[in-house]
Amino acid sequence: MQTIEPDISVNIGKLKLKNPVLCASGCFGYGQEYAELVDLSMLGGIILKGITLKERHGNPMPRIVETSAGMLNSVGLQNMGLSRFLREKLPLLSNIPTNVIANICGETPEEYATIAKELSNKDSIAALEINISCPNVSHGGMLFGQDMMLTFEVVNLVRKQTSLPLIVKLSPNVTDIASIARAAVDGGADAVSLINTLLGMAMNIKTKKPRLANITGGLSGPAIKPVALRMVWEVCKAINVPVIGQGGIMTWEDSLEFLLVGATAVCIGTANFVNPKASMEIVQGIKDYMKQHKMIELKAIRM
Amino acid sequence: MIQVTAKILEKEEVAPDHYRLALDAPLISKDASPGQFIHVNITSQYMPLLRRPFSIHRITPFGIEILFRIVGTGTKLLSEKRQGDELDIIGPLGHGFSIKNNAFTAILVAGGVGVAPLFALAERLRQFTEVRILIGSKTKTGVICLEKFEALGIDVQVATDDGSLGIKGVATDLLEDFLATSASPQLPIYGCGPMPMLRILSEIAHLYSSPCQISLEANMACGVGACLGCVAKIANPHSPSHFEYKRVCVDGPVFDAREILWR
Repeated sequence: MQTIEPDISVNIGKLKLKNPVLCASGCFGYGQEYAELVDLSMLGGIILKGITLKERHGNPMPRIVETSAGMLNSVGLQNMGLSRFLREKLPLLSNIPTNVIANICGETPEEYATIAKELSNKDSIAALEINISCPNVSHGGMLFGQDMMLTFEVVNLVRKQTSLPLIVKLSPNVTDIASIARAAVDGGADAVSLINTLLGMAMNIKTKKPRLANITGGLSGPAIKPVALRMVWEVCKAINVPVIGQGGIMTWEDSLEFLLVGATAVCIGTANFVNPKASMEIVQGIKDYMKQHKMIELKAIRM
Repeated sequence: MIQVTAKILEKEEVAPDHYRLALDAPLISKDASPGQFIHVNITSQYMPLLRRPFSIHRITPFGIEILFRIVGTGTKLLSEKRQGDELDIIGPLGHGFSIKNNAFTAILVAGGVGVAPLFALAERLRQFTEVRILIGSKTKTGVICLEKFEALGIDVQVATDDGSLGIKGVATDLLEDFLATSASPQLPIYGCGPMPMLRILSEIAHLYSSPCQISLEANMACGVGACLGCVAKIANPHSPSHFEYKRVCVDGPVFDAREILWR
């Protein structure tokens, strides 16, 4: 008996992904870093390391600490800034055989708008992810994502600058994530992605000092998956645009949980560090599961 | 770089809490150079979650060897692996030692398990130059690979904090003595060990105008330059703040000692 190859393509606004698996911002560099280990053409897309208007050194070391089934990071958005990105990284992106989504972060709503405008007419950039949820910077970042009005303001200002699909990356460090998601949609978001990392901390009991130089950092990895899943479920009920689920996804089974609660796509972050082939294996795992259950469309998973 | 499943061909406890593993990884060894590292997935469980980086101790036609000391959960679990077990490894990774073919004596300075990458380097350097290694350790049981270096015909000097082997002192004391009495100027120095030792090493190298390369250690997540979790503070005169954070995993782990900002 011939098995029909299931169609696992999904739409994020007007952006069509060949499959629902993306690699997360900050966890996959600019794609080239993993090109020798991962067949990038197998992925639905990659989301670039966050870009700010000006170059950022990032935070002092130590920046990462391993915790129970997870890790804390406080990189602090180290990046070369918009103009060097356009000069040094953008030309390389046309070689990446999948959708490239740029992640943008600003200290003010105007900075987001400036970056969005600059990136919106570039062939190799398929969509923008607006990062209003970085927990490791002192200005902007998560502050915008913790306030409905500021979320609306940032998204709305960016919306006026670009016709690219807009994904808004939400912070879990809020009381009611659904209301922030609604504000993002009202501002003009085509999709939301969640969750960014959970603000956390670890102490060294020998030195009696924090284990991160920045004291606090963002928790990621399998430890946060139940929290992420709950929030994705809440947001999926609250809005009518695609939701990209992320937070601790390590396997295709984890991905299915997110798709089951209503996510349109999933994003793979920390798992890349543990197993660079995780994203490819997840694509294959979802396909195999669908074949086994004779599903021809992704939405059949939820039935 | 490739990701492979490598069988453990040999396992040896070289000293208390110190292990050497020989891994069947010819596809990694053929591209490996001294100073590079491999990134090892120690368990498929989520504790510990992240891979562990290990400098390449030896490069052979069959694969590579690593040498490590038990310092935490990851290295403890790794030490419990047996010959025949398989490990998911990625390598070779990182920017290794730049080896210049010149007639000078090369001086290697190791602190503790810092000898690990210096053995692969010594094997390479001795093909065309005289090599001398200065090993420092807390006590004599931590002085590892001594006989292996001697078997290569390399001159070994030892310093221990407690004087239980070699001179009572540290490896950089040996270096200062050697440079102070050496007739040849600007001997190339290669170092690996704890940060305070590397800092003193850099100062001595600067004093004697010796080119000095040092291999840094850092906790890493990705190991391939994507996450920016492992950085070192590097001088950059073109930056308004005169420094930048460079990734230990791809821009290092070996750096020119003059580039490092120690404060």
